[in-house]
Amino acid sequence: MKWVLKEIKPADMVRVPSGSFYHYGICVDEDSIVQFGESVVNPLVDPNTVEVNKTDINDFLRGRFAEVAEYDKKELKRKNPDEKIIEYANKSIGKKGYHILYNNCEHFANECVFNVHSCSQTDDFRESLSKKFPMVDVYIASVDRFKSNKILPKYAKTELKAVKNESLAEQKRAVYGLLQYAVKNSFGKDVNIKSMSKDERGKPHMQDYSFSVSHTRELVCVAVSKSNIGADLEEIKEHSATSPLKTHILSESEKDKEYTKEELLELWTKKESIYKFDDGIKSYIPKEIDTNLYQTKSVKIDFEKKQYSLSVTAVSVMNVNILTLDGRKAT
Amino acid sequence: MTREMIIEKLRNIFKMVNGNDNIEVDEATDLRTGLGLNSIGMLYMIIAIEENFGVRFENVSMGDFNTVSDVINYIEEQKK
Repeated sequence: MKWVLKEIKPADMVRVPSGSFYHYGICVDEDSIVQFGESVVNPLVDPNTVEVNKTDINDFLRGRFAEVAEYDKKELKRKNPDEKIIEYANKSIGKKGYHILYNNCEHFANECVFNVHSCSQTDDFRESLSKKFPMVDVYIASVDRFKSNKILPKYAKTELKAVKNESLAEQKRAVYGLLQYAVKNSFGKDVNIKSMSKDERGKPHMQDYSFSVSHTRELVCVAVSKSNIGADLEEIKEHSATSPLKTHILSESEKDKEYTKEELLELWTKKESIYKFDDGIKSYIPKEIDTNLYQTKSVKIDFEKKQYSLSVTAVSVMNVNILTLDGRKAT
Repeated sequence: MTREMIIEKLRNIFKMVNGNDNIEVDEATDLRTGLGLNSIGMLYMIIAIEENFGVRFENVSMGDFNTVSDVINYIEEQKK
């Protein structure tokens, strides 16, 4: 569908700009437009007072230029005949049930012309929102809280049999406990943990959602999203700034700078989160990863006198939410 | 989902809608006078909340929401 400035004739779908949106109507005769709501879009209006009404064309325009819908070949085939469009619009006068998102002036105009209940304006915003700023919820919890979790994927059960260190076993069990909590909390869905599998890089997969996990002796972290993500959590320890660690982490361009142990650990978590995020990186060689090419968000977490560094990599980090259970703070 | 978690997610939504990183948000913050949301900003906020919390704003008037606390109460009610 294209919008063109031209003379309005009966059965045309027309629109006028109203703030960031357009107001839609159907021309029913040479002097009148049938519209749902008023010519100025106001999301704060009481929906119970809004109804389909017939108005004078000048009231619809209010000094603005009207654009007229011009249909493509497919739309011309789907479109109702002109007399049906006018009949439907006129029959609808007095109809209520307005909702700015679900039943607005554009929904009404599309019903008249195509018998379809749709609104490109709100749909476009939703789509651009989820593409530009995908939601990433990152949950941090104590291992203690989920260490008794018994619902595990088959591969994890096999792996756990080989784990001799009980602390590590608790961390792994806690990861899947927190994952179930996270998916339920963020998406309102139960996740089928038992059917989960791993890819060739060893990255676990879950149907419908992306996730990334990380764990330390005391804390477990799970990030969930509908878009690809990577997360890494590390404890900031005394030995963090030692030379061997620097040799492994820093790329040629990063070597000239001085790093505190916090900065060095942050860089490590950034790079590991990038590795988890980018499926194109086949093996983890930190000094070959350029952090400037990715969007990452890093925070420090305090827990029982220890400090942790957490980094998250995503398509955009604008909508990364750090959600800490048990009341600890992320800064 | 706790109120703290909800407000943490709302902070990012307000930043996205406002295009402003430096906004202070607590439960008492007024959506219009505190965050400067105009009518279209309110609409974008509602859509972003629907997308981020998996709730739908049906049978409510957006004029019913004055403060951040009102929004949290609505989300909590919908998530029950």
